[in-house]
Amino acid sequence: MAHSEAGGVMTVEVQRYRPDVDDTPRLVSYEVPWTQDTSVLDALNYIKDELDSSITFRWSCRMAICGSCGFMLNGEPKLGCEQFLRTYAPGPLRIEPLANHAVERDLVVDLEPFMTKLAAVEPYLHPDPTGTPEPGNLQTPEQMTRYGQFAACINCMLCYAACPQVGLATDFLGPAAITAAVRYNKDSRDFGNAQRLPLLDQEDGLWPCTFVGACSTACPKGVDPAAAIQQAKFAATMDWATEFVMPHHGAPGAKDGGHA
Amino acid sequence: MTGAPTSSPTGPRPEDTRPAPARTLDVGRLAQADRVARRREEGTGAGDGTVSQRNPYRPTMKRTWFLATKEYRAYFLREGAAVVVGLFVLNLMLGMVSIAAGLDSWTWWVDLQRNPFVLVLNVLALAAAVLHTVSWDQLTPSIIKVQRGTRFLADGWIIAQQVLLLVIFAAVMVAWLGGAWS
Amino acid sequence: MQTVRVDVAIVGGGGAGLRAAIAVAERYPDLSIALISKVYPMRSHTVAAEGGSAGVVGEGDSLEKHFNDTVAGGDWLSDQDVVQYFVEHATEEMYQLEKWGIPWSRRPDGHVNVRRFGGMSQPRTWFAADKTGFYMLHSMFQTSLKYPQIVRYDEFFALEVVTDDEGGTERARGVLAYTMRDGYPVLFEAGAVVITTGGAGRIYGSNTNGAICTADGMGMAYRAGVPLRDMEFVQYHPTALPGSGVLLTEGARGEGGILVNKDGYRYLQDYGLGPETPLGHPENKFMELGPRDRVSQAYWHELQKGRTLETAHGPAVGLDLRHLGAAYIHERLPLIVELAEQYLGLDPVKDVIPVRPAVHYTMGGIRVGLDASSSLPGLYAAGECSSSGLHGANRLGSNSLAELCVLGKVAGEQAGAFAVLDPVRPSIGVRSRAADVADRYVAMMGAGTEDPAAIRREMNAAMDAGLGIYRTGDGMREAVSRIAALQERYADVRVSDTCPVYNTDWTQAIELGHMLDVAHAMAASALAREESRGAHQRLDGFDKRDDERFLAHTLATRDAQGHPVVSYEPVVITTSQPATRAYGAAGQAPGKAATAETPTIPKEA
Repeated sequence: MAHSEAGGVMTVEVQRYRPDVDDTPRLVSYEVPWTQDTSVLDALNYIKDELDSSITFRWSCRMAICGSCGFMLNGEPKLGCEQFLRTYAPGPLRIEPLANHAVERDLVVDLEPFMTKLAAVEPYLHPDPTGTPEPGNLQTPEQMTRYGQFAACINCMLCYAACPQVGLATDFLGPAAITAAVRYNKDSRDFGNAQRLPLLDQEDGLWPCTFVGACSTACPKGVDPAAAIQQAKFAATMDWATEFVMPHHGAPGAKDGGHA
Repeated sequence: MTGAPTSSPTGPRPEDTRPAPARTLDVGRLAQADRVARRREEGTGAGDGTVSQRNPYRPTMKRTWFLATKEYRAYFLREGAAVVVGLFVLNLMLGMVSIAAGLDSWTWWVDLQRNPFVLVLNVLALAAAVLHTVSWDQLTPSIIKVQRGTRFLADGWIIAQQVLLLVIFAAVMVAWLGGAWS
Repeated sequence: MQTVRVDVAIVGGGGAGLRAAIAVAERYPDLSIALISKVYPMRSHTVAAEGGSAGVVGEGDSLEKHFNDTVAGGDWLSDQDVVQYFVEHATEEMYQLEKWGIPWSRRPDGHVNVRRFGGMSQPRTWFAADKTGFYMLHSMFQTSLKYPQIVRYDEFFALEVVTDDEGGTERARGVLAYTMRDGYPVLFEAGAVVITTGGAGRIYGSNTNGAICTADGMGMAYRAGVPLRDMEFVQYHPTALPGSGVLLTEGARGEGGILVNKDGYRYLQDYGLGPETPLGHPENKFMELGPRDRVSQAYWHELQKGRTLETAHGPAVGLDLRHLGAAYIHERLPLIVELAEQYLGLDPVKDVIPVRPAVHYTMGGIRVGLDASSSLPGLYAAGECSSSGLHGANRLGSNSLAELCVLGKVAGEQAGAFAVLDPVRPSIGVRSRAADVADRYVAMMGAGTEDPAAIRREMNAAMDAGLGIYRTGDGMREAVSRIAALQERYADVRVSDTCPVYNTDWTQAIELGHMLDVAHAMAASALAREESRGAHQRLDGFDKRDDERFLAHTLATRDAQGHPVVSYEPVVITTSQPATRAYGAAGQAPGKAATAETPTIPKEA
């Protein structure tokens, strides 16, 4: 193994909140044995199995693809399954629920606002109104490159926890939802730009974003949502300018280049 | 369920005699039966009927949130620097107004420039302008994507192109202004 | 208890559930659909599928070849009518996903690219980098947002299938669930119920599955009296990380990765998969592209011979990708690079990755027919929780993602048709009984003495030991008795947590109950099958396939005491008579002859 052998016992502080009893959350400390490949998720499961079975957190795949186990680790949004205690040695490690979210219980946060925002941007292919070629669309690797990075979002919500504007403007669509819209807008098979752009070009759409850039730093999948948002702002501005110069001539449905 | 689509089903289907699908029917005899059947155990914490047991905690952002991380601090510096640049521009505008107002006020404005506060403002404004130029260059590659095959041009190329445009613009300005003077 | 009346209730929001929901919405647009899932749809374990999805496309391939590969891969335990239907519809479903926006990997001319996969004679695996399941799940989930009649009930934990015999025949009347977010039970009264809850891999200790793969749907159907079929066939994936069990896709071998023992020797050539193929030139059905059961079994033999590597988490063999080069590895296998870096601190460009087999897939499940219907009228199932008869005794990689689509659609359409023909009326009796059942479950909170974590660990250990890659009668008998003893302890399982919302102590205890029931069915089914076939390999004198006695599906039905009763039903054989299952050089000659003699089935658009 490339990692040096290490281990010991680490103090792990977990924010607990039981909604039927507590008024405010509190930090509870646990002593967790660890080795060089103990993940933060392993630590939480150790606590649940051995110390306190009522501790509550979401998790599933263990391989950073299902997006369930986003937490604040020492104040930074991370996926618990791909972070290891060795990184935080000698401790203590503080685990809190994702910032900028209502806390349902312990480390479980409310995802309903995001689900509503995601659905609001129509994140699905709007097919060519003149018909889809059979048996399927052609799409070159170059055309895939245009949106490929933005399609890698796993909806883990780390970007929402990283973004101060999400905290300040609760109705802001937010990085992942806008990225989903941009992903389809840039897909050569999609013809939904005309519908989606007005959804983005709203006070609570794109514009609360002030390009802090923290979303892209937090993203565990290299999606770069900040870039997606700025590109959407650019497209919205160009659309506005075109409309201003040539009313009803600049087709807002036209793809921002590259449609074959 | 409301707002069901109006398009007709594609396949063969029987007579449409069934009742319209409903989300809930929590009234009347059936609901009464539910209530009779519901024997809630004391102390189990079971939800009572359909009353939500949610009680989410809604954290509030600290007033000093912008100091929390390096990234937020850099962002705040960038935003804050705009105030300095704004003050600098105000000073310039004041200068133009004072030219229009006559020699006395122009002399007053020139004297004002020797004021230590104004000197500091100028130095800060220069620093702020440099900061903005650098951050502009850093952020532009996120917006301007030049695709070459299945790759995007590296950020450095976009930044280089920005700097090159700036240099050309400055050179043209200098040449033009120099020409006007000579 | 809240009551929600819907036409079709779908339990499970993964690939099969979403496909079924969309199928109902498209075929019967005025039906209401409840998509009930214990996790948000994008968390479902379909997301973790890496390699790809099978569908015949392009020259040189034919439906007949896909049919033959699947039937032989399943060691002739597949129902051939189902396989035929499946291969005929897989490609159109792959194109359907294309129209829903999945970023299939493409050739330079814009046509879909396909890769090689273990046990498949032709490249026919459609892929989206090495995150095919992820892209498939998100494409289907996002597409489902188009249909207002699909109402999602996310983080609703399903407890039981509600049945009733009012009017003479027993039928499914809905699903009882519990909203984890709001904290109360909800009865979904439904005209038809579709179970799409995925697999049962968490029954084993060493597995590639997510935390949610806990056999809930199988358990619910089993308790409702529906038989579980072919439960003894549990697939080991040959390449998982030691310790965590995190999966490294078979695509890694499809792209040219090789398996080596501690001496750097490609040991698969010793186990009927040779001769050795040149480095970087993988060939279908040879060496590393043999079927999963054979490749996993070869590992076991290497372990016995002491030729495995030693790691901090026990023995392993090496997955070597180095000869593929950095550019190719990064383009085709980005997830492998991430996983190796994160979990092992290794770079596949420079390092050999230690891997070993881990439980990956349950071939068996809720017994359904070609129309996805179970023996209980109104109850349907699709995906890994079901036993459609497609996979037989061993599933070929990339057949399961295609199955989600093909049979998920069937399940949706059939359930929709059933709900239209025979809608349920509100029933005081059903509601009152459901409320009683809900009370019983809720009463588990704050009760009991037996530590659920300990029961779970012992179940994992019993299954790992008794129902592994190779099995013996004694080992399986031991597993049966250990599981039965655990079931007795489970009757007094401890749930300390009394909080009504997000009580995961409670939900995990319920999951454990399902897993124990299903583990018992697995062990009893395995013990009764006195032969070796596909993923069920015995060492105690039953090391050959026995078509005389066991060319049959195993059915496990729950008796009044909660124990499995094993019986058998015939396998549907249409065109392919059982033959020797051969790979490598041995698989060459007869395969070619067969292709030459039989006319190719015409391909669908």
